[in-house]
Formats: sequence, C-alpha cells, structure tokens
Amino acid sequence: MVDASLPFILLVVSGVGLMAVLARELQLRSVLLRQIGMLRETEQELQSSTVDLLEALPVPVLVSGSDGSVRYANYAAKDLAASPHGDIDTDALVATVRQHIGVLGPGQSVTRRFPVGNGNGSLRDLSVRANCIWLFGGSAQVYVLSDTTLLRDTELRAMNAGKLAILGELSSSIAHELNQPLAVIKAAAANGRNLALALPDGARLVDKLARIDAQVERARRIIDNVRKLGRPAQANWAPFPVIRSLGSALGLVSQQYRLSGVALDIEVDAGDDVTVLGDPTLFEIAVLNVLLNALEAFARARRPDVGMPFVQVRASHREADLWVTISDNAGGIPEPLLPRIFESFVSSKSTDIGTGLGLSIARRAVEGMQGEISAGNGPRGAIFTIHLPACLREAAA
Amino acid sequence: MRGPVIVICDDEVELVSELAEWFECNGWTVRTARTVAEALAQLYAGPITCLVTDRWTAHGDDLLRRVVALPAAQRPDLVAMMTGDIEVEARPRPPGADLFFLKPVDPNSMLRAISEQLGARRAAMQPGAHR
Ligand SMILES: Nc1ncnc2c1ncn2[C@@H]1O[C@H](COP(=O)(O)OP(=O)(O)OP(=O)(O)O)[C@@H](O)[C@H]1O
Ligand SMILES: [Mg+2]
Repeated sequence: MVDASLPFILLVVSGVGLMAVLARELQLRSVLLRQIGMLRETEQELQSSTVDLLEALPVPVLVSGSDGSVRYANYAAKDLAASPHGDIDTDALVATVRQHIGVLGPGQSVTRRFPVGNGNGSLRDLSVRANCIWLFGGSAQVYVLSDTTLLRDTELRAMNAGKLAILGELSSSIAHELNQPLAVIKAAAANGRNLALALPDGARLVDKLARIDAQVERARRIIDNVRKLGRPAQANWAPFPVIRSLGSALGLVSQQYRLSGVALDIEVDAGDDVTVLGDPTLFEIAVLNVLLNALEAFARARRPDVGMPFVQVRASHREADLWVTISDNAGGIPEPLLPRIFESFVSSKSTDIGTGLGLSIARRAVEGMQGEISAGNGPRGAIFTIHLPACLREAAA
Repeated sequence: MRGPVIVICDDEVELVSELAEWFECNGWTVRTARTVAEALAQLYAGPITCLVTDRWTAHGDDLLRRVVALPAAQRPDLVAMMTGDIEVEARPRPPGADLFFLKPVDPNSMLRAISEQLGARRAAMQPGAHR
C-alpha cells in the first residue's frame, strides 16, 4: 500500500515544487519586465530632456548617424542651415562637416575651423567640435558648431589695419626718399631747357625736357596720393559736424563747377548738429574725390542726349545713419570698370590726369570711419553713396 | 654789380649743383653749403640776399633759429626752406622762414617766388613807404 502510493506522493511533491519554482520565476520575470519598462521610460524621458536641452542651446548642434543621415538638428542649427531664400538644408550642412571631419569612433573628439558656402556666394567661417557618443539608442556623431565669420572678419580687418599702418609709416619715408631724386631731375630738366634753347635745333630737345618735367609731376602726384592712402588711422578721432565738412568740400569745387558749366544741385536734410566720429579732412577728401570724378566724367564723355550737365548732392540723416548721395548725368561708369572701381590704380583716364587712386583713398577714408561707400550706374550717370554712422551732438551745457 | 647772392644749403650734392646752375643762369651769385656750419660760415662771410635750405640738412628749425639770432648785417634778406617730407606741409610754418617749398620744387616757381618776395620787401623799404 505504501509502496503503491509512493510514486504518487513523489509526483505531487515534485509538481508542487515545480509550480513553486514556476511561480517564483514568473514573479521574477514580471519584476524584471517592470524594471525594463521603467528603464525604457527613463531612457525616453532622458532622450526628450536631452532634446529639450539641445533645443534650448543657443549654439547649433547636429546629430548624425554613422551613415551620415541627419538624426537631429536643433533650432540654432536649422537657422544656420537656412539659405537666404529660407530653405533649410541640414543634410548639406552635415555633409560639408563630415567632409572636413570624417567619421569618428566611439570616445573620439576633434575641433576644426573651416569656411562654408552661404548659398548667396559669400563664405561663412565655422568652428566645429565633433564627438562620437551613444545617443538616441545608437552610436552618433554630435557636432557643436559656432559661426566664427565675425571673428574672421575682425581678424582680417585687424591684419589689414596692421598692414596699412605699416604702409602708412613706410609711405611717408618712401615719399621723402623719392622726392629727393625727383627734385634733382626737375632742376636738371630746367637747366637742360636753358641749354637747349641756346642750340640751333633745340626745340625738339625742349619738348623732351618738358615731357620729363611732366612725368616728374605725375610721379609726385602718385607719391602724394599713396601717402594719403597709407596715412594710419588717427587714435584721437573726435566727432565732427559732418554737414559743415560736406559744405567745405563743396566750396572747394564750386568754382571749378561753375567754370565748367556743371550745375551743382544740393539738398541737405540734416542739421548742423549731426556729427560723425573721425577725421573731417579725410571725409572732405573722400567727398572731393567723388565730386572731381563727376566733373572729369563730363569733360570726357559729354553725351548730347543727357541735357544740361548737373551733379546732385543729397544728404540725409535718419537716427544713427547719415547718407550722402552724389549722382551725375555724365553717362555713367564704364561697366567693365565698375566692380573694381575702388581698387588702387584702376582708372580710365590718361596718365596725365588720373592716377586711379582717388576712389581708393575715398573708400579708405570712409571705411576708417566705420562707414561704407558704394558706386553704381543710374539711367543718366554714376551714383555714389556714402553711409556713415552718425549721432546728434548733445546740446552744449 | 655781381647781382644778388644766394646760399643753397642741402646735403644732396646733385641737387645743390643743379639749383646752383639754375640761379647762376638767372643772374645770381651762388654759394653752396652742405651743412649747418658751412651755411653759417657763408652768412658770416658776406652780405647774402637769400638763403635756401633743405629742412633736413638744416636740422629742422635749428639753422633758422641761429639765423634769426645773427646780427642784422649778417642776416640774409630772405630765407626759404624746402623739404621732401610732405607731412611738414600740415604743420605750422617754421618761424624765420619767409618761403616754403615742397620737393620736387619747380626751379622756375622758386625763382619767381623769391624775386617777388624780394621785390615786395624793397618796395616796402623805399623812402615814403609805409613800414
Ligand atoms: N562720376 C563718374 N562717372 C564716370 N566714371 C567715373 C566716375 N567716377 C569715377 N569714374 C571712373 O572710375 C575711375 C577711377 O576713379 P578714381 O577717382 O579712383 O581714379 P581717377 O579719377 O582715374 O584718378 P585720380 O582720382 O587718382 O586722379 C575713373 O578713372 C573713371 O573711369
Ligand atoms: Mg578721381
């Protein structure tokens, strides 16, 4: 009897044991599953707060998979990737960055600086910090970008300013050194002329000597202009009444204008209290060079169809900006010259009247005062615009 | 009469020789100097109508100060200064210089300016002229 019930008992006991083990296992599993679920939630939360954090960062951040696909771009990155027309192309931006940086392995990081096209022909300077980390459930390339264009421009400007300061220092001493031999040549030519006049066939020699003299004069003008061009920016600039300076520049040419029969039409919509920070002499030189060019343009290319020659000068002041526009009806700037017109030695005039330095001096003067000068052609002639940061002089206490 | 006397003072020998020839051709008696000391020696030696000096050779305004301090008999009637340093153009004219020329100076205009200035002085010195 006992012998017969023993297997049954064993079966029941092992069955119960098995059930217990199974129940325990089930319990463990459900705990594990709960834990996994919680972990998943945490991961999701982490991910979304990472995204929130990245989105809030003012610096552009891009995340791409190892295959180069864009996994994420924050607001600042989309802003950076926007073309001037408003299309956002983060794929292109990531592709460019990958071109310069390659694909990093886990734990690797690098920083690079390189230029990126802007979609409108200009270049932007980017500095990129790249990392390879675990993000969004996989290995990801994370790029933190900063737009260093302004920095680059400042560096460039500082470099140019340095160069110009050196040129300025050099040009004064070069001018001095060159004027010395030129003085000898000029005096020798004058003496040569005296000798030639006494010769029976001296007239041709006199012509040659006159040519030497004229060329010395030309060299002198170039030296003088180069010196003005290289004059280093003054540290002690002060606000000056810009309309008064405009007036004195106009005063300097008004006689020449009258004699040449060119009308000066002046309209000033700015008070005497408008000031510009800089050097009034440089401003006058800039305006003068533009006004003289207009006058010379009439002398060269008088078109019968444009009617009575005139030059319009408009000055206006709006808040922090002063605008001076000088336009003429002399037919305009030769189109091929237009893109290079502010460069040194660009001129369409014969060597005895033009050195091609007038406008580069004007540009240097205006840019030195943090302003801009631009040139273009209107329907009747050239239009020059000078824009300067201005302010109102405080009423004297 | 040997005509008016000019002292040309410049350390640039070639310029001195060309200017000397120019003034001689135009009726002047020319003395030359290459230093401040030589120029002063010329002034001591005789009545000089005009002193033309390079600014650099004259050590800036040094020679002019010494000329102003000379006894009246040894002072030239007219003092002209020339310079190749264009920056000087912007500075006030040195005291003691009646005329100022920028190099490369045109000998013709130099001669004309000097003669005109001398003429004006003579006219002012005429008896009856307002002094
Ligand atoms: N108002 C204008 N109309 C037509 N062409 C112009 C005008 N202003 C400038 N230009 C053109 O721009 C060129 C460059 O001008 P810029 O003043 O720099 O030199 P320049 O007048 O030739 O010589 P410089 O001024 O040194 O004597 C001129 O030779 C001329 O061809
Ligand atoms: Mg010009």
